[in-house]
Amino acid sequence: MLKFLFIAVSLFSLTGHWGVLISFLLVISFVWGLSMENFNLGIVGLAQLDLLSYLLGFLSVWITALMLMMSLSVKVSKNFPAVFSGLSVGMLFFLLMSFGTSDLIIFYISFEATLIPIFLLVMGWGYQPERVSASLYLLFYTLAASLPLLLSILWVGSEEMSLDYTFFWKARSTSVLLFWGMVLAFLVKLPVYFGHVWLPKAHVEAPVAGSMILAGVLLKLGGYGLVRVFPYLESKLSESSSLLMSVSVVGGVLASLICIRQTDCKSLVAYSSVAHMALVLLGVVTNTFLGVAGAVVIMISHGLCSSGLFSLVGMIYERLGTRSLVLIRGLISMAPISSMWWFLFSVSNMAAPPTPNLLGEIYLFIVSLGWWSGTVLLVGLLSFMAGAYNLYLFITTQHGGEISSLSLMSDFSFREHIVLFFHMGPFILLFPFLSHFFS
Amino acid sequence: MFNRAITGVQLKPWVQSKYLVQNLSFPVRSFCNGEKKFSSKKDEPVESPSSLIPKDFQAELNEETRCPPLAQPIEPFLHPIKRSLDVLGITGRNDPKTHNNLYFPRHCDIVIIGGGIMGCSIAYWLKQRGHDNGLRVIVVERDPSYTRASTVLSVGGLRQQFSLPENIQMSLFGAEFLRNAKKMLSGENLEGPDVQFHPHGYLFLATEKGADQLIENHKLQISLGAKIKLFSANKLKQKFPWINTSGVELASFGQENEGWFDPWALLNGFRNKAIELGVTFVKADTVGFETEDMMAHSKPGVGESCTYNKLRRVHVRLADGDVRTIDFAICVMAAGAQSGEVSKLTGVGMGTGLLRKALPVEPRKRYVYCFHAPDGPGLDCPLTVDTTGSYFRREGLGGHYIAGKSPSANEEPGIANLDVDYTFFDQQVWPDVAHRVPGFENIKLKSAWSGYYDYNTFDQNGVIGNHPYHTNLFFATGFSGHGIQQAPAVGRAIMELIVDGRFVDIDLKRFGFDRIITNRPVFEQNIV
Repeated sequence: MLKFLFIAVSLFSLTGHWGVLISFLLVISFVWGLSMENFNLGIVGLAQLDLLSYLLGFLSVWITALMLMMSLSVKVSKNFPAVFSGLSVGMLFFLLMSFGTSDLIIFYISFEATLIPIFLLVMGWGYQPERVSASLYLLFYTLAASLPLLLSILWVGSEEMSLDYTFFWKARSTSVLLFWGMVLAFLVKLPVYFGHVWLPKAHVEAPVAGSMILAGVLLKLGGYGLVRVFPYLESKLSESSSLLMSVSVVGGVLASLICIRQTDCKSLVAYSSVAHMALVLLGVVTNTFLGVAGAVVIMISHGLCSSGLFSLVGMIYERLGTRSLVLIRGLISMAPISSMWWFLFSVSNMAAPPTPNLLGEIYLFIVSLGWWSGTVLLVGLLSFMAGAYNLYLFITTQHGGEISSLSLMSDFSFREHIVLFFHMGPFILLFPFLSHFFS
Repeated sequence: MFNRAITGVQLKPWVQSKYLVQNLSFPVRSFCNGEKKFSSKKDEPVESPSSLIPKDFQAELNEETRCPPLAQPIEPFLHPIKRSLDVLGITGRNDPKTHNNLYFPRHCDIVIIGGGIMGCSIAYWLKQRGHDNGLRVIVVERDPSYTRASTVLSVGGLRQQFSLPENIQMSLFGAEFLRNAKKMLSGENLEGPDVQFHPHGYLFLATEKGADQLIENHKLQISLGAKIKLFSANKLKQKFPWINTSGVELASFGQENEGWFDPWALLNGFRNKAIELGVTFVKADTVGFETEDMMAHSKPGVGESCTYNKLRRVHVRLADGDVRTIDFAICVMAAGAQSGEVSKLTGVGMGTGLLRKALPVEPRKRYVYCFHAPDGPGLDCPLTVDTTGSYFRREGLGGHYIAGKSPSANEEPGIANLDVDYTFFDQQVWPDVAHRVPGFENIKLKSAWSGYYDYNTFDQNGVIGNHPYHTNLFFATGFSGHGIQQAPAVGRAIMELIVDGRFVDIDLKRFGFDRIITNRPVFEQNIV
């Protein structure tokens, strides 16, 4: 993994050169993927990766490449593209470090360090005055919740031999305080329903690239952290599982209900992220293999799907100048080729076959029903509402008569097709891969 | 619904006619006119859906539409690190400019230039469709005290006695709205306005020459639901004994939904309700527009593509001289008398092709005189429009009346300021009204004011609709003196155009901007 960190550092030299940087990142993602042979054996030390780390690392490099590809307007309008790409590369560095390390302190440092680039991205390139409150919400929610995480890590460090979580196979902790200290940060990052307020604000105010990396990868940090620390906290987990399960499931249903009421399409996709991450929490809390597998599959596929939806919204915003669902209508006649992508991403988001979203949701249904059969109602409702809001998004934007005042718009350019294809491609290709490894 | 996309892609040779969309069997939801026309010829400019270009203007309009260069981007991007630190208050703490810059609204969905009755009405109706953040609306008004705005200097008349069905329908809607204004414009902490509608009607007097036109107009008005009654000279004398019916052949009197109201109250009603619904009012002057080169397809997927200049951003200058930008998706031009000038900033009238014709709206000064007449008509006095064009109405309960007249073409007063010319009253207005009402011989002129008409030099009727090239630029101006009564209807019409893409309630296709390009004026017979 260290070699990838060195590569990421070297990418700083490419900050001015957009195309080279993007292609380099895509190549790196393949190199990362190809070095996946040795993961199950593991090397004791700072850097150790297993399948989850590899997948999320791949996702971060991939999404970084795509977000830079999407942000051509930053380069063209000379809105400090060097700083922009520098921040993205810096974010990538810390993301790779956080996904690649097995040491909790290094994980915490890089976890916190990713906040700075995203904060600067939202504040620096965001649109409206509301971005001020949006980025402050983002920063302070995460910081406040992760301070207990730091204390817990230090306590664990003083208790245990080392902070390497590969040593945490046995459930050792019996302290409630420690449990909540460690879990709270990830819950807010995930985000779970009651700590989700920062997410719609940050997404709406962020530039397209910021939204992509935020929804695509940064939310997965929360899920990843939970997967890593739950083995240590297993005993407390079984005690608090009912609370966490109910918060996640009911919160997900509420988030998806709020989703349908949104009038800003970016806000709609942001709330759908909350609903999907609720499913992730659901899977992880059940403490079963299939649950974690389902959570991981949903994390990967949601990363790609959500990022793709944000790109689509960004492309429409670039053309029409508005994100309001009242004004965006009739795209199926104005830009029919984009309708194909809208359709594919909408149905993927609602977990239609044959997307890996469906695979993850099936695993989670099995696991949640096994946990308590009453969850069939809520998880079923969550899934149903997912269909509802995705259908709503698709129908509102695509169907309906075209608004003639905004009808002079062009269909997607090659670059935009590439961005969306690169989102969708791994999606389809990962399905057999994931079902094989997590079956 | 799916047919449209499919038909557009499977292009059979016999379908490849010039007017492609005509061949589709299901109704195409059109914009202003019945059909969308897209040409597949290489040299023709991209024709927007809203332009119905008749054959006799093809040659003229075959010239390529070019937008003139508009305002330049005024400020370079602020460095993101500095921008973030400013926000956090770490830097720029002592710089008031930074602070003001931070909270200035820079993005919106719809920007409305002009905060008079039209602008506020449009803002109100738009927010009715998009609550809270559904539609972000910003109204740019340079003078929130409305010292020179036509709205507040208006006489506030409301009549259905027009000769165009659209005007009649809009006034009927206006009357209905005014009736319910207090309820519709009230909110949680907001009391609706009391528009003080005086339902005393309009009285139009016609000579022998004009009687036929009056009868024709009357038929149309009745058919659309207006309550107008025709009076012969004798009947008129019976109804209004104070009137001198010499020279009057026929008169028409509105018995319901006609009269006058307080435009200030309506303006404040719309404005306050709009603010409550979330509209942002910016006190600034419009100084420029920015465009961006965008690609457009004449038929998505198969047609020719070209680049055009899309209006993306407006430059506004604040009171302290700072120029800021507002990004928008749609711009509504409701700037009243100054609309012609401001439209030039968008390139309308400054370019070639579809941008050749400017918006023909200019300010025209009109005087209103207030006098006291102890022997006047008393309470039973409608807004009487004389055969000469002079008009008068009662004002208040103390025997005051206000009167005015549209000057003839060669007597147009200068528009440099709003000073009143009292000789116009002595020479033009008073003789007419004194002849018509003998009781007005003995009067004392108390005061006078003047205001600008947003005068449409083309056909003296409103321009309502979007521009064929700048499809995201809507006009709601040029009402030439009868705008105040049509404000609720125009606001609703613009809202329907923007949100639904077509006129739903009242069909105002004929009032679009296209008629200025194709030179098809829509004249009104009675103009006060």
